[in-house]
Amino acid sequence: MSGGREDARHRREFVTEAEVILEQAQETLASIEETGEDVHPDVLNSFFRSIHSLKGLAGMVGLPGVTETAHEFEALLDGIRMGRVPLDAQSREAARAALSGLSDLAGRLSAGDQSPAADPELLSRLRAASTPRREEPKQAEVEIHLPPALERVLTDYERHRLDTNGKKGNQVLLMPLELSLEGFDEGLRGAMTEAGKVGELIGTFPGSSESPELMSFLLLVGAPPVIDPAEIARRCGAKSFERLDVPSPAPVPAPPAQPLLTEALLEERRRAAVGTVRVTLDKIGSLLDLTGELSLARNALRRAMDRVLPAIGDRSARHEAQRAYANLDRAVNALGRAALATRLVPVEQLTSRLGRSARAIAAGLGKEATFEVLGGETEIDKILADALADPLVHLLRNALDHGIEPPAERTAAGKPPAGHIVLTAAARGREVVITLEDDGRGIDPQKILAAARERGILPKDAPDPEDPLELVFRPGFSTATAVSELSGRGVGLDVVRSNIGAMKGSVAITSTPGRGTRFDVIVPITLAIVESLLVRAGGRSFAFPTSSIARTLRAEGFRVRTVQGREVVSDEGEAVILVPLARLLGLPERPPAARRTIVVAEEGNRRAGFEVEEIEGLLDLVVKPLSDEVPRAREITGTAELPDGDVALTLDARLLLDRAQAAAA
Amino acid sequence: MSDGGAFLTFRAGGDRFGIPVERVREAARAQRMAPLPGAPEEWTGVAVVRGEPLGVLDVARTMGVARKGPPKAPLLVILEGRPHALLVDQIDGVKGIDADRIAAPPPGVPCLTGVVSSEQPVLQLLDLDALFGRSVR
Repeated sequence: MSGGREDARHRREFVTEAEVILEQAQETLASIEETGEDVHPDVLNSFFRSIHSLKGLAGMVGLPGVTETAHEFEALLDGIRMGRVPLDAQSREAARAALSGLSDLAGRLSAGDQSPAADPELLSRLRAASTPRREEPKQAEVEIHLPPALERVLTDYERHRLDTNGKKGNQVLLMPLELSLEGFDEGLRGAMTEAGKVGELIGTFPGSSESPELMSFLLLVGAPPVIDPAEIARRCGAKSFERLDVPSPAPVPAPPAQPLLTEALLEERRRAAVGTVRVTLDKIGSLLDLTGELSLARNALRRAMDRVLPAIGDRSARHEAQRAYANLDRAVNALGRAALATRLVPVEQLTSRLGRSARAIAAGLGKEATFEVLGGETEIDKILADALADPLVHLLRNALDHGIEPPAERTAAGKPPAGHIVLTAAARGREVVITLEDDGRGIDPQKILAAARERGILPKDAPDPEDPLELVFRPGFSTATAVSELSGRGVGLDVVRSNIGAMKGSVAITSTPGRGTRFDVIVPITLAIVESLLVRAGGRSFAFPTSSIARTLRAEGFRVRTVQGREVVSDEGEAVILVPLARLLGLPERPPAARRTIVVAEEGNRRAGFEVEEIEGLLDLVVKPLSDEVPRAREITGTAELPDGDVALTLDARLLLDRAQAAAA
Repeated sequence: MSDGGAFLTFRAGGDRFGIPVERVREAARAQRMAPLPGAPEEWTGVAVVRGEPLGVLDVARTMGVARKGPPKAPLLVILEGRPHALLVDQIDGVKGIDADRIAAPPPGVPCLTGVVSSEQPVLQLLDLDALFGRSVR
């Protein structure tokens, strides 16, 4: 029978829509529960409307069980939004029960039950919850007078919100808004959003406009009295405003300590949760490339304008061109930021994988450990997040294998039997700092020195290095006294360091014996745009990533000494090797000037000074990696186009430090 | 020996060379380049074409062809599927060459797949893989 099939299709469609509505309602409720009672009226209102439309849908498909439940739920929400029922624990629990009851009905429907019946217990619970538990709203203490034409069209809900605003001592503004026919809907939406941010949009009403080209609206807005009404009007795009409340000389109530849960906030959370589109990294990559090209074209235009404009006599034409350029410049910069943002993901994506690895590794080692993540919302380039997974798993494994003691040993040392590993991520300027800290046995520097000598990493007669822990990053080093199953894999911390170095990052270790070990991993937020220090060496431009620069020095000759035929410069009391960058790269050197310009590069605990001819400045550069098939000194990693059209070569500080140290050894 | 087909022909120093057109992505006016420290001397530097950095190999230098001073208006022949461009002095155009007109390269001259002696001046067909293999160390 075709009618039956039709009905089945309708029911299926209903289930799909109901699931969407219920899922959103679920999120809204969760957010409300988090926030407490101070919920923006818009949130309650749209919650109410979503259940109202669910009821309507159920009615159309002919599902009395759903209609009945939604009806009682709607009554509860209406009571809350109208202020008759408080948003207390009782109503929140009833709302939760209603949502799970509705989900249950939808579930039974999709399982084949053609008309699932409502749960009578739930219905009576909802009824009980929606009985007014607060006095009916009295007439507002602050009488707010509306123009009579408006008063007539005001709904009960709008009247209630108006009175609530009056009672709170809020200001109430009536603002005419004129929008061109074309795109008025967008303008109106924008104004409504703005109004919701500063306060509450009580209602929108048609206005009167003389011009046929314009649509006119009246916005009725309530807002805390501390906000300048002119500012509210400006943000909503209204040219004027009328204040309807009687401004009271009474002290203004303090703004709520906690931000209201607003629609905008909810929307943000919703978008973070569901409003995502999957895009391949390629597409984003080409978007970034094109953005980069666009900014280079912008730079070329700037240069052309600088040449051409002085020759133009018409001053206003010159200004117009400058203005147009400034607008373009702003848009290009904003586009660059937006394009970059598409590639950023929260560190969480990475750490949830780590959490699973931690559990698996701990179980394999017979250890107990909890893994905690702080700052998981910190954003990082997706490409870097992926590239960081292996090094971080390695550090985690290291912590579990060598750091965290077996439960018995921990108990004996007065520690809880389960170890604790904390990963903290935080943005610091253009970098993300990720620390991985365990509360294990720590590292004894003497044992490291002994192991390094035994393994020939440190010559037997060599003096102790200043920082013995750095030795763990040397190839061939492993701190395991007994080679465990995991550390037998042959990948050492040297690989971790070189992997992180390849991302223009660094890793350092600190440890307190008996208390734990900590790794600090610092990587740029993105590799696409690198803040760089532009220098000249051998008459050419080179770019250092600023992340690898400790400082720049202008040293008088006397600050440079020669020790065993090598030049060193004193940098904050410490002598660092000084190498002319030109010589290192095999370029012609200039005789040293009286005042020498030195870039001190830093990587982990290593430092070296590179003498340059000139420092040209700090720039954000779009860096393109150079293929391995292009021969060059290996310290050169890529190219960057400069605003003047020249090409700078980008340098890898880690490889330069290797070279400088090799030259000094 | 080379197969016949369409060849992009160009001048480098006083000599004339050709490469199969399917190996060419595009030709471009040479722009500002950054010389590459540490590269063999036949590499002129790196040019950025449409955002992509390309290593630029000077054909005349690689092939040991004499040139009086630097080329006046050098051009880049950007190759398909490699991060490289050839620096040439002038582009002649595309020429169809039948396989039977191509002779084996004279002994001792590297990096050629063949020569076309019937062309005036003689057209030397470059072996790109050998050219880069010779230079990339």
